[in-house]
Amino acid sequence: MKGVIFRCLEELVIETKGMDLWEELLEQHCPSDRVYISAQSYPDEELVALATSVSKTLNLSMPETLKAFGTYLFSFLAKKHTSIVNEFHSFEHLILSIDKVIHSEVQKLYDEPNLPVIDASVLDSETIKLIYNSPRQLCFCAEGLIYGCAQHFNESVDIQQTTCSHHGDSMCTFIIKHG
Amino acid sequence: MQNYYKAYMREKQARDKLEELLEEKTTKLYALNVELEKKLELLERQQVAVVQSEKMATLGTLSAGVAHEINNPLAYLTCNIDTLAVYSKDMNDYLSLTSKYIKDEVSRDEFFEQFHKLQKTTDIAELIEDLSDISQDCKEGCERISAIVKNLLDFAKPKSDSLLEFEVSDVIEHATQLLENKLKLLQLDVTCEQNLLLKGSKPNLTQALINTLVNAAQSCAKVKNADPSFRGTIQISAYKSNDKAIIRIKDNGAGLEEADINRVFDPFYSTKPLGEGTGMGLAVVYGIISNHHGTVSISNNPDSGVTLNLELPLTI
Repeated sequence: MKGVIFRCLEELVIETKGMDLWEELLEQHCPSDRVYISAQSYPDEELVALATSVSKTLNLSMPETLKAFGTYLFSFLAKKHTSIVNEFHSFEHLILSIDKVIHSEVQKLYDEPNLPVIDASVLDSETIKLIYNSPRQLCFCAEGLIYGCAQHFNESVDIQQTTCSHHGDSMCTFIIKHG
Repeated sequence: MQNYYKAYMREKQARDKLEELLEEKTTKLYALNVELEKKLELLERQQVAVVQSEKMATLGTLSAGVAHEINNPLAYLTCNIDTLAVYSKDMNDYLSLTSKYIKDEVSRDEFFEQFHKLQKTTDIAELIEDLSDISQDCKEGCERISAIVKNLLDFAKPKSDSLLEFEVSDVIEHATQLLENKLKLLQLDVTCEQNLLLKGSKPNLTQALINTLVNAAQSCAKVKNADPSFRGTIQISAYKSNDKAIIRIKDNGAGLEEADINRVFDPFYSTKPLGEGTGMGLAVVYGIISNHHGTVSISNNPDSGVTLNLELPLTI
């Protein structure tokens, strides 16, 4: 997983729970010299261990933690890459451009980003179907990112997950009502 | 604690700043890379065009020789057709007489009398034998012209994207056939192992070999001009070495100045007098061989002339 995701978690933990907790988490789960850099890749297990500890500390389930993290992650990335986010005029425009525009921009910046495959299509003027496919199975985080995107464009969304790889489906499907 | 937090924030700001800088540089690098890829594509297209235009220039050089090669069979075809025209009159006489006899327009005695008269001017057995020889000669002449034209077309057609498998001996045969007229005053020795299979563009490799042979022939001609008793020799040998085909073209011509050896593969570099040669011959050879993942080198022979060494990966 790319360091930019770890950096976001670092910021979220320090902002909400303070530096002590973050130091504790690093000591618990990471090598002693660990400093996260956005462009660098780090083991996925480190993120899972950190997120599990965060969910225990916050007394939230893992899906809830990942969802909350995903929501925060959107604003973190939007702040870092304003020029890319400003290209989109609406929530729908951005969601439909994840694979073609956003992921291709990410590929320009990072070496081997191992991005998920996202296939978004319009069902009607208020509904989007989004399919998430990744061996990392971070669909809860993806859901959080969609919420974060809706907040950015001041839209309210209702997301139903109709298929999920955690329940044996081959991919995860979200039906997003927005407006 | 407050101080530690401030220190952390400063460190975080430094990381942010450095990452911003890194992203900016990465974006620029990406744009430059895209630009570079476009230029590379353009260069590859231009290289194909250069090979094609060099091919056309070679065709110009070959045209006089090829015209001569076509002229020879054409001459005996013309001669045979003239003979056929004469024979057709004789055959007409025989056939008309036979037709009259069948229709009872002439009696048996008249028929034999006129037949013997005709036999005195044209012997029918000779006529039948000659007709067979003439038609065989005409067929061979047409086949010879057809082979020359096919060779020329194979050579001149633009590079095909599809990679084909072919034998080194075919390339050597194709190139020497096209240059038959240019090489006929030289002693040409070809030793080629069979089953040396290459994969790539056969017309382009033929082009590379032609360019090399033309240089060798011109180099021998230069010595011949100074010494009419000189006998130019070109030796072509092809053999397998590990997983490569080695093709050697050795001549006993004028050779190269040591200073020219390192430059002969440079585009537009020519050792020939101004106005002669495009300076692209060996540059095109280098490009074609490189495109086939091979290497090319040239060196002066200890006695006289040069040896050009081509190494190409075999398919099996």
